[in-house]
Amino acid sequence: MRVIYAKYLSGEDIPVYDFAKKRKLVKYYTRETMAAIVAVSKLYEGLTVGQDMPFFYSTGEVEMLQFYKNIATQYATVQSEFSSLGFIEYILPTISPLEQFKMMRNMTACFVSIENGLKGDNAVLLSSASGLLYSALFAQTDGPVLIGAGKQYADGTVECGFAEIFRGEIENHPMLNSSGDAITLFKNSPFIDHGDSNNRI
Amino acid sequence: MAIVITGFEIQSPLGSTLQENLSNLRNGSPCVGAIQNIDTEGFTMKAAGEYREGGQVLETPPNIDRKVYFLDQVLKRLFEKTGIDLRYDPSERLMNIGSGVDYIDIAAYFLDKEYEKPMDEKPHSYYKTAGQIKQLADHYQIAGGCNIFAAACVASAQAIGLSYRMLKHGMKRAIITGGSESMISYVNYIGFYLLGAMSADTNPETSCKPFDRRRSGTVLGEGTAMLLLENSSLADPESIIAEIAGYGCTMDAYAITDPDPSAKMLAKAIELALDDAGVTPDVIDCVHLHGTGTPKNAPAEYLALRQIFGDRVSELPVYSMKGQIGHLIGSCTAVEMLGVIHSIQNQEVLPTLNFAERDPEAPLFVVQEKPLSMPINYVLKLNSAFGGHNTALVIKKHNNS
Repeated sequence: MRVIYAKYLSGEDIPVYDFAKKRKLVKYYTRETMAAIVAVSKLYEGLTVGQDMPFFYSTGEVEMLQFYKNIATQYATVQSEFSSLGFIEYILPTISPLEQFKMMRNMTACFVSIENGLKGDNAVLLSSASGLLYSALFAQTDGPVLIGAGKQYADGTVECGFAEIFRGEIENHPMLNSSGDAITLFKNSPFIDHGDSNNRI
Repeated sequence: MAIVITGFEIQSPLGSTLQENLSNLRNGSPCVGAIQNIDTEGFTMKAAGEYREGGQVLETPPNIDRKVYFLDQVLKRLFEKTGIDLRYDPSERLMNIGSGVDYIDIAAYFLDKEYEKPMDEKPHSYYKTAGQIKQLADHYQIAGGCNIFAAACVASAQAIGLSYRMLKHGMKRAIITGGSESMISYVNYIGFYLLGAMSADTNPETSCKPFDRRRSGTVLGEGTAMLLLENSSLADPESIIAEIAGYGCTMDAYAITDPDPSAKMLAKAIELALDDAGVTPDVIDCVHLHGTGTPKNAPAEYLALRQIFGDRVSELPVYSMKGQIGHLIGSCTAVEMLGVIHSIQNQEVLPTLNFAERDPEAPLFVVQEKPLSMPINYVLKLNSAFGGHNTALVIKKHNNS
């Protein structure tokens, strides 16, 4: 089992451009996605990623409060009452289609798959450690499985963890039947690789 | 041992009870209309498949997240009809469910000036999906686990897929699985509109035209369907509706917005599901496709079927429910299982609403005008998602003998 875990504080730079192979996609990335791209690149540094390898990802709840705050603040400068017409006239033009990619909960998993050519069995879950472990345990194909989790907080802080595992390593995992958050699988793992020079991952 | 569906409850644009859903599905009544539950003044597109009771759209106050409201009703009825709570302890009940994005009552958020609050203070008008679903799981004493799937249009397919695998690997549980979704609110509807996937046809009833040459996009719907899955050895034989016989899932890893035009990974998902079911393509009697009505979906589904079924694709009946009720995103597979169950129970493939002109780029055998009666033992159910996920389920008629 190889495990990687990282935490980036609010406002802290995530070095996605140092790792992303498909740089034109970076504009669609949330901080959670950036952290995931960096983590998977580090996990497989110098190694080949098997295209058929199953990949299961558990995302934290996307915090859209900043987005709502922006549109409501913008609206308040022109209207004092809420109306459908006002919403269309004043809010719609301020919403970038890029924001919609950031609202969709499967985007981090999809971008990690595109970046690494992962085409195998997959699923995207919300938060659940148990669901993530069961998905990996019962994956259809043999061999290693990539699992990951991410969590973005309202202030922009991001946690991210990934691991390449074999089913035998998780069949008796203590979190298999817990209601715990998936990110704790990685944060509390005794197998975290601390080999990185900044000692964070 | 088989993995069997022993309960199915639904609330959708077709109706509020299973019987009403089946009846309106069979009679082909269009259930996409002008949106009634929110004021759409100024919207370019005003169509959606809203949840109906007795033919009327149910209007709810803006402080209700409709997908959670539907789920509560559906779970209540599923428990009543199946007696899960009498046969399984709370720790033996598990829920795997597909759902969508959080709901915000944007009018209240604005009027109450909640945008002025500090970021770490959760607004009263913001309803988190996961927290609400977990509360319902607690309410119904589903203590064996609650996993929420979030891969957009395949969220409920992946929920059903994991449920099937859990039982297949010997977990002795009653698994409540399916999906619940509503994106018919200001922010979520407009957000989906901005993705560019909505139909350009502003006439609600004809806006979604799966497989038709003139299709220009999809239209949103809302609703919930939950299935009870059990191991056949623990199920009441009289309650068995159908078997889930195989599941496959792949990823295009091609693009975020478009399916891989080669459809290789969609074909691979079908191949994996057939292998899992231990059957060959020739046993599949009909295919219930994703059929969104978007320009790129139909050719991809046609090419995938062609890779698996060869020339037989021209005579293999296909169907999409989205012409009638719209695209239910996080619950679409679960709700579309109604069509699969109908095909198995009534031995017929229904016509796809709004399909009139065959597309040379997707020359599928789409049933038109009236149901096609035929022997049906195996149905293949496909779904795909924005982002590149593909799922395939093989559903089998259960032999009670």
